[in-house]
Amino acid sequence: MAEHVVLFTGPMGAGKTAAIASLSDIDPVRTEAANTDRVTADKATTTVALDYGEITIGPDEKVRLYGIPGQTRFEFMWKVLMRRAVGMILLVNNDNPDPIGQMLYFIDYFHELYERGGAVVAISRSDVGLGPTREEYYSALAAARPGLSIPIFSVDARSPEQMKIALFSLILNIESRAAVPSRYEEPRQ
Amino acid sequence: MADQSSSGGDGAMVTVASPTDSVDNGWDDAARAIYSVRKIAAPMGIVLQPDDRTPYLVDLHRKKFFSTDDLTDFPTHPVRVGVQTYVVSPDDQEPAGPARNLELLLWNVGRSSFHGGLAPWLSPTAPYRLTAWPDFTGVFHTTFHLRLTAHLANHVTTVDDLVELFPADADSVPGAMNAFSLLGILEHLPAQPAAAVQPVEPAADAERSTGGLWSRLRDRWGF
Ligand SMILES: Nc1nc2c(ncn2[C@@H]2O[C@H](COP(=O)(O)OP(=O)(O)OP(=O)(O)O)[C@@H](O)[C@H]2O)c(=O)[nH]1
Ligand SMILES: [Mg+2]
Repeated sequence: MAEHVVLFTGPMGAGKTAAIASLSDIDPVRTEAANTDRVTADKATTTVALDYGEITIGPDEKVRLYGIPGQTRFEFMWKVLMRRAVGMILLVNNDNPDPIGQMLYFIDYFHELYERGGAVVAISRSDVGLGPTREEYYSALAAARPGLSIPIFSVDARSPEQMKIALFSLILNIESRAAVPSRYEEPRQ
Repeated sequence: MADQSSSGGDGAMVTVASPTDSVDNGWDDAARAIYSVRKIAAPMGIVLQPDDRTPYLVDLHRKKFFSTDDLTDFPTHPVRVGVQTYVVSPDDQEPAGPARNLELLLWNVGRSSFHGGLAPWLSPTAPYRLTAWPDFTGVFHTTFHLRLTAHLANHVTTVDDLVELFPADADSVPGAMNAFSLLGILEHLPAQPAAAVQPVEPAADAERSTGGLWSRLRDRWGF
């Protein structure tokens, strides 16, 4: 069985659970409990262990979708879930008080995953709160972490169509980065 | 090149294409005007009016366009597009009419201009690379556009090489390049010294770590 693990990361309330529900063929496995931190994210429940969903590609191939719990007190789970992943979709809610800081924090934390495969940034909840523009995310990323190849899209994590575009782009970007350099580039070591 | 004279700061409208220019060249003048205004970062708005349809007010600074037309029925082959520029200042009020996603308009204009050929400011043999991805959750695209974008975001490539890499979609390469250029995400790199030129690797190699999963996902989702 060929398996490809994709990790959904990002701060509390960014839409990781919603994104996995949008993409999964099966009823996603959720581990939500009452949210005791209504200051960070004003919602009734929060993920406390992981989210799990899957996409069946064929009889012998699956994409497994893992979502991390956004609260930093569950950070021990992040490393566990990162282990087998080929890439991540980093959700950042645009109504977060510091969405660009959050983006950089998760890119740094999961840098090994970016190096191994790739990452996509998906800006969610732009309809709820007016945060930075997509161009501002790109400029901030280029200034703070130059040389990374990370597509940035605006999404509604509840939309299967949009999350499919994000996941499809992640896979294309992983495969493109792994391809041989063109004649205009320095060969990679 | 269309006449790009400014209005002298009085905010008056200036027609970019001269009246004798009103031949059947569809979106070409519009693309030229957008490219020029972006290139010199001029404080100018552009009004585009395809045939007798509702005009689009393009505000590159605010990254929006204003129109009652939401582009669900974009005129890809207008006979003539009226192009006018006007001076804007940051303190100006937003133009009247609903504000819309400028990326969508630029993406459409780019792909519809120059009769499927390359814009005159782009070269088939110059090395290019993308500095960002279009916001594909908001603009109509095909799998080819996603593949092309992934390639150009990760590899410095010429248009001629792209045509070879994507033989089935070769006709769509120039339009997509025009669109990238209007979106302001296409970077032109200095030409490489001849000594650095090595043979191009075949496109089939371009699938590694997830073993061509994209094509099976495409089939699975019916993209
Ligand atoms: N309005 C709006 N709501 C969204 C969007 N994306 C996600 N949501 C909603 O935002 C809320 C938070 O999303 P979750 O999926 O619970 O967030 P999470 O990342 O799993 O959060 P934790 O488990 O606490 O780390 C949910 O009610 C989602 O349905 C969006 O783009 N717009
Ligand atoms: Mg959750």
